[in-house]
Amino acid sequence: MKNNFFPFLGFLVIAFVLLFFLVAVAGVVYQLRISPPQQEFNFSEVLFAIKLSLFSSLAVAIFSVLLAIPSGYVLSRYEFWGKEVVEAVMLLPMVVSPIALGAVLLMFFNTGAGKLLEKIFGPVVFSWRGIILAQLVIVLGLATTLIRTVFDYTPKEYEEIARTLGANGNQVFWRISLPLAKKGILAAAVLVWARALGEFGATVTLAGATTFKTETLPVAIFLSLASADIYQTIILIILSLALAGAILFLLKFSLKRS
Amino acid sequence: MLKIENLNFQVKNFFLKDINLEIAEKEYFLLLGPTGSGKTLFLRCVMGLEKYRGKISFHGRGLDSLATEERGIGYLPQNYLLFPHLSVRENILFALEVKNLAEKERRLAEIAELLGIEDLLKRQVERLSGGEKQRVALARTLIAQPRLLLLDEPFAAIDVGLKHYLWFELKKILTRLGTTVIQVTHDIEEAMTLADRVAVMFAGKIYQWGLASEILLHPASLAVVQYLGIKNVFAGKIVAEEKSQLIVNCSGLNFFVPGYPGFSVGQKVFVVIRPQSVKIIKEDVPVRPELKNNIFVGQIVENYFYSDTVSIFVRVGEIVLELKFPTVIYHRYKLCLGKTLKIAPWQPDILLYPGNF
Repeated sequence: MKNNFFPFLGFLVIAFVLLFFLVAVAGVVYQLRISPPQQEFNFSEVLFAIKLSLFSSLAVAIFSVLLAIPSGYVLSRYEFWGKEVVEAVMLLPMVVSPIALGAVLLMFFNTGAGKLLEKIFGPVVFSWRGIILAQLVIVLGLATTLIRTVFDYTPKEYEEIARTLGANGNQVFWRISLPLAKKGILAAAVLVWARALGEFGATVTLAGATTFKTETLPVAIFLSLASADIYQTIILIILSLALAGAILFLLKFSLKRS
Repeated sequence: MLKIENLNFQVKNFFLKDINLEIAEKEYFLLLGPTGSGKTLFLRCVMGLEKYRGKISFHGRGLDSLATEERGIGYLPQNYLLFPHLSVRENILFALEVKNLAEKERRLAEIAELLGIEDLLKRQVERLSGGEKQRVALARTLIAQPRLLLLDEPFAAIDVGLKHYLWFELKKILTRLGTTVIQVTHDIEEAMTLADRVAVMFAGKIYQWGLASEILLHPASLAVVQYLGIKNVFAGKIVAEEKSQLIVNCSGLNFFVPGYPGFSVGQKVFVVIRPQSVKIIKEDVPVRPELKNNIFVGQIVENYFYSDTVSIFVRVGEIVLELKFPTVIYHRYKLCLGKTLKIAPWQPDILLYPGNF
């Protein structure tokens, strides 16, 4: 028993965590049974929230991964002056409260520079562009950190061999580094998508919570809870859990296939 | 010709110090040294993967300002590093693809036939054996026809039986292609068997370079002696000089050694004798002049059998001398532990080094 205590402890912790989630979900299902709908279930509103969440989070995930690949590669492979500062800035959005970040963005778009950008690209504050920007600010550092780690674990020796065979920097990256990191980048992309999908604080601060306009799934949950519509809140929570489950299943499937 | 002048490189607390080498065209050159001596670092500097100080030129063309991919130097790493996401065929064609060279199929067919890997072209790299991986990695390197090839312990992961076969196969192929080769190894037998010339490296410094036989018979320093595994190293003092030979007393035993210049009576020295140079004296066989001054009587105290040779250790007074010879001699002379016998080192082979003790 003494020799196997640590694994036993590990299994015990897993069991408690699973139990906690089961009890929480059971509580939600119980609430669903005892809470009557406050008003007619607004199917079209929920559908809008799901579509907006999926569209914005997917766009942000793709865009942030495309930006994170070159920046993660540079952080992994090169030493340069100020690198530690860059790494700290990348980690900031994961540490700072999302509402604080949203407030920073909101204040920025109240400045001359912000107003000029809105003139060029269209309204950002209290619009769908604000959702995308807020989610991007939250997940870009995460994407860069994850993808940098992927490249850290991609053996540099293959790149060196490629160079001895005549490949220049670009060729090494496209023919060797990227294909070898593909699996890890895919996994990072799915995690970033999941994080963007669940983003609330910065989104609601910058884009607001207007139904049929800037109402993502987390915002819809917030609005339902704020109006004490427990029934609709629970439905939205179950939909969120189902989406999260689908994303995690996709992650496992994509890893297995690769 | 590859010319390396005053190569210096530092990584953390390890230094490559003042390396100077000249390697002739088409030469098969071995860099010999223990693990951690800096051999791989040296190769990385030649390839341009490290920022070194010094000058490296090949056929009169300076390489120092050239990036790795511009140097045209082939490299076969110790663990082959075949690209796992590419097939065997794609691995081999890689150099031709990145340089967009013509006649890919013809060159692939040629190199596959040369190395006997036609059957492997459709396979995936993870299903190859060690010997197959080596040949595929070699094909990948040679298809671009590098004029200089660097091999980093190419036989380290190969079984002994296959290794000895591949030694000669590889050398035959590279000699046929006319490639200049620098091979790095820690295996003394490999170096002495394959090399045109050898350099011995410890702790980032080249201690000796020249013909393999020269290094074996005349190691330049005690460091090289120790690396070659020669155990017959005896501390002593020169007690006399007569008829162009020196008499050295080691723990009560007098050795007659050649009269090397730079040594004088009263000097502290180390006497070094290769185990292969110590002969057994048979009563019914006339004693050669080269042996007669150094005949000792001793007793066998240890013996070790290898595949076809044997090492015996003979105690003579306070000294224990190692002898090495074919196992058949051991049985022919009916040797055994405890047996008393006459031995004598071959005088011209006895080496002398200054002693600071």
